[in-house]
This record gives sequence, structure tokens and C-alpha cells, in this order.
Amino acid sequence: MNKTKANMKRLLKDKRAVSPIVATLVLVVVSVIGAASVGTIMGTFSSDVAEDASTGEVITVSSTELLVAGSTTVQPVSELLAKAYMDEHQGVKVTVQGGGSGAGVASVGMGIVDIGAASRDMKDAEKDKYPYLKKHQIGGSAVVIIANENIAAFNIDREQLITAYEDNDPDAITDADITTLYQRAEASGTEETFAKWLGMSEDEINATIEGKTGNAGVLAAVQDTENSLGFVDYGYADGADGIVILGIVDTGGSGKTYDHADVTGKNIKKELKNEDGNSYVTKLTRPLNYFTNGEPSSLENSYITFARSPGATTYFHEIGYFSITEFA
Amino acid sequence: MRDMRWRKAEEKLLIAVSAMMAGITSLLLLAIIGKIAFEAFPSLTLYFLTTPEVDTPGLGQGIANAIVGTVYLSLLSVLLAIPLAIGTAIYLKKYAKDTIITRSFRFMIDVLSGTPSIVLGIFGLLFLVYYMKVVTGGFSLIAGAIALAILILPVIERASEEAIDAVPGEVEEASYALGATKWDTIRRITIPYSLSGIITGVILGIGRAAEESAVVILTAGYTQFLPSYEILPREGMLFGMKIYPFQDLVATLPISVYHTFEHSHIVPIANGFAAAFVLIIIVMLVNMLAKIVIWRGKIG
Repeated sequence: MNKTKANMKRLLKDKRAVSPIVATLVLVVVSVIGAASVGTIMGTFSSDVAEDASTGEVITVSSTELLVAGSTTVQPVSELLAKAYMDEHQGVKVTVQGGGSGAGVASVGMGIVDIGAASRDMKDAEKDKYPYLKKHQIGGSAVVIIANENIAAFNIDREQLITAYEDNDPDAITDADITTLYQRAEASGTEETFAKWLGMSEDEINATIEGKTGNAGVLAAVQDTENSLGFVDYGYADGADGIVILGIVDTGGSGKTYDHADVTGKNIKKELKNEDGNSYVTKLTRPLNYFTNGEPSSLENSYITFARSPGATTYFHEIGYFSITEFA
Repeated sequence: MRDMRWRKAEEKLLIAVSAMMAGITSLLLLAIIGKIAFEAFPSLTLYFLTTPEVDTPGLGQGIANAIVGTVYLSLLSVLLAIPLAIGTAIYLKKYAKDTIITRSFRFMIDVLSGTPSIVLGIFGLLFLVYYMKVVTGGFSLIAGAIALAILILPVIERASEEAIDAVPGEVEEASYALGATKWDTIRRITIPYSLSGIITGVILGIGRAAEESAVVILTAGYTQFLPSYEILPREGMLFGMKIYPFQDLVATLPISVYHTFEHSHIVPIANGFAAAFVLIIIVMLVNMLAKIVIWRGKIG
């Protein structure tokens, strides 16, 4: 006893009594053993539970987690849906990540996430590569053209917009004094929708046009720069300060004119429903999709059904999108 | 005489210029931290810091998950990197002869330290998350830690080599003179002597791992949940079980900052600054720890 005491005293007194390396090693060993024993106990416990449970329940045990990843446009609504879903389904864990539409499709195709999110339909190349992906539309949104509020709202001509974005030539827009254009810095569903409407590929947008990250980046840039113009999701433009939403003269497209006063949530919803191009430019509207690898598992199915239910509408509105139940 | 005065003036001018540069550099840092602290202030509540995102209403209203995740990920990656880094340093400095092979070793470590983190990230995504999914669990703490360990390995290795270089040769020679073997000398003289340098490298590695984002988003992913500690049966995983938190997703602060920006129309921007502020504080604490280690020096 006395010896131990003396040893302790020596230890406390002499900081070099134990070499730090030995101390670190001991710490590592102790923590590994600790983790392993806790793990074993928990493991025994879980396997006990598993043995008690019927086969059906075991399958439930092994799939109480969902990983949703992809489109940053869909991401905020997915997060709200996930929280609401977990409130109703105790013990289920739904995790949401970003990454972009392309990453959403690719990672569900590769099997590293359970549900891939995309703010567009699958491209042909993706269909070839991942033939088993199944689409579940959960909602819709629309791309709108915005300008800094120092410019009075006007109706922008599609042909002029094409020239402007192809050549980085803001002067091509003759109805207002636009001096700066913005595009997205990364591959995005929003930009793809915009480019497709202009009959271009994303690469054909002039590379010298300054790119901003995310809808939020483009919105902030247009807000901060006088005489600037950009494109964002309706959800990001709706109610935002410092910008105006422009109307559209769809020259060379549908040929119709959509007055700036008519670019409203109500009309966009009408368009998502009918797709006849009477209320807003069809080509500027886009779906919010979930993809599963093959038929959804029971948990995936339950979550997707929840996302498509009328009760989930409020979460779409919170972000400025529309739920599938509003227009399907 | 005039020449002398000119030389003195030149001297003073240079002192003034270099002092000014040093001042600007420190001011820059202060300005950044000040601005971030100022912007973060409205969001820096106990609730925000101690609540995981999943337990909050709306989006991005809590960062406890990210704080814990950042700490776990950086510590685990450093634990993985330490043996490799120090082992390499000891081998290259003490055992290896200067041959073409050791020189190419050094060259490879240099290349590794110069590899852009996004490259390591995409490697981690393909190899650790996709091919090794059965072992790592896909996006996970362990996948992130392995990728980060590769990233910080050169940092620790270089610091260790420098620390070993700084060990006075006489002391080692004295050890040999007393009949100690090479390993005895390394164990009892070289490593203890260079320990403060090595630990400084390790701590810098922790800081580097904590602030990394490109690698993390591609390997560790993000989660709204705090890490849990359990082992559950899971189909399709090695041994049919999933070990939490190692094979589970993990959140990190840089990703929280990025999320706030991505969804700035829904999440108050102050939340992003608050997450950034916490990250700076963590990195500062880690660096202070390094300073204390050097200052005490006693362990070495």
C-alpha cells in the first residue's frame, strides 16, 4: 500500500515518470479495448434482440435508415420532409445530403445512397448507364429570370437572351440597360433548364460570364450588382428583396408573351399542371424527382409516399416550390 | 559619412517596411476573425451550439452534430496518420541509406502533400465509399478519416523529419558510445528529443483535418444527427453488422457553413458565420495547444 502511494507520488511529482509515448499507446490500447467491449456488449444485445424478433422484424431492423442525396434544389425540401417523416415514424433515420442532380442520379445508380434527388428527368446517357432507376416525382418548380431592382420590370425577349448569353453581350438586351450577366458556376438543374429553353447546351453559355455557386449565389450577385441579370428558381426569387422578376417574350420558342405581372406562383402551378404553355414557359418549369434503384424498398416507399402526400405540401411551400398534389 | 547615414536610413526603412507587412498580416487575420465574430454574434446561442440539426425546426438551426463530427473526424484521421507518418520519418531519417529508392520516397511524399484535396476526395469517393462500401459503410466516419489521414500524412511526416533533424548529433552519439542499439537510441533519445516537434506536426495535422471540406463532403458526407454508439445487424455489410459511429455518416462544420450559403434564402446567414466562428475557435484552440506543447518543451 505504502509502496503504491510512493509510486503515485513519484508519478505526480515527476512528469517524466511515464514516457508520453507509452502513455499514448496505453491510452490507445485502453480506448480500443473499451470500444471493443462496449461494441461486444451492444452486439450481443442486438443479436439477442434479433434472435427474438421474427424474420420480418429483422429486415425492419436492418433498414431503418435512409440516405437521400442529390439536387441542391430539392435538398431543403428533403430536409423538411425528412424531419416531418421522422416525427411520424419513430426509430427511422432519414439523412439528407446535397451534391447536385448529377450526383443524385449517379450515387443512387452506384448504390451509395438510397434515394437520389434530381431537379430534372434522367438524361439518355444516365438511362443507359443506370437502366434500373425508377422515378418518383414529388413536386415541381420553375426557373425565372431576375434583374436588379434598379431596373423596372420588363418582358425579356428570348432571342436577345440567347445572344446575350452566347456572346456575353448584355447590350443585346435592348429593353433595359443590362450591363452584367450571371450564370451558375457549377453544373445545375437550374442552369440546364435555362440553357435548354434557349436551345443551347450548358457549355454554349459563354464561359466569360461570371458564375455563381447555387441559386443563392446568383440571387445574391443580382441583388448586389446594379443593372445585372440572372436566372434562379422561383422559390429563391419569390419575396426576395432587391430584385425584380422579369416577364418573357418567348420569341422563337412558343412565341407567346408572359407579362412580368403574370409570373406568379399561381400561374406557374397552373403551368406545371397543364404543361400547355399558357400560363408560363413550359420549358422553364421542371420536376422535383426522387430516384430509387429498382423498386423502392418498403421504407423508401413509405418515405416517398409521405413526400407525395397532401400533408407534405406545406414543406414545399416553405421553400417556394410546389408539391405534386397541387398540380398532378 | 553621408554613406553611413544612408546605410542607417536604409536599415530603418527596411525595419519599418517589414514591421508594416507584419502588421498588415496580423490585421488581416484580426479583421477576418472580427468580421466573422460580429456576423456570427446573433446566432451564437447555447441552443445553436448544443442542438443537433435534426432536433431543430426548419433548416440549419443547430450545429452540435457538426461540432462533434469535426472533432471525431480530425482526431480519428490523426490517429490513423500518426503511425504511418512517424514510422516513415524515422525510417527515412535514421535507417534508410540515401539511395534512389529513398529519394523517390521523399519525392512521392512531396507529391502527396501537393495533391489537391479534391483529388483525394474523388479517390476517396470511388475507392472508400464505392468499392469498399461493405467495409466502410459508404459515406462514413471511417472513410472520411482514412481520406483525411492521407491528406495530413505529409504534414506530420515533414514535421517529424524536421524534428528528428533538430536532435543534436552528440546526444545520439553519446548514446551509441554507451553501447545502446540503434532502436534503443531512437526510442530513448531521438523520439523524446524530437517529441515536441512531432506533436506540433500532429496538432497542425488536426487543424488541417478540421478545416478540410472537399475531401470530407465526398467521403464522410453529412448528417443531421449526432453520432450514435452501437452495433446493429445490417445486411450487405462486413460480418452483417454496422458499427456506429465509424461506419455511419458524420457531419462537419465546413459543410454546415457551405449549407448555410447554399440555402441562404431559408437559413439565416448568421448561422453560417456562427459555424465558421466555432470552426476558427476550434482551430485556434488546437494551435494554442501546439504552442503550449512547444513552450513546455519538457516532454522533449
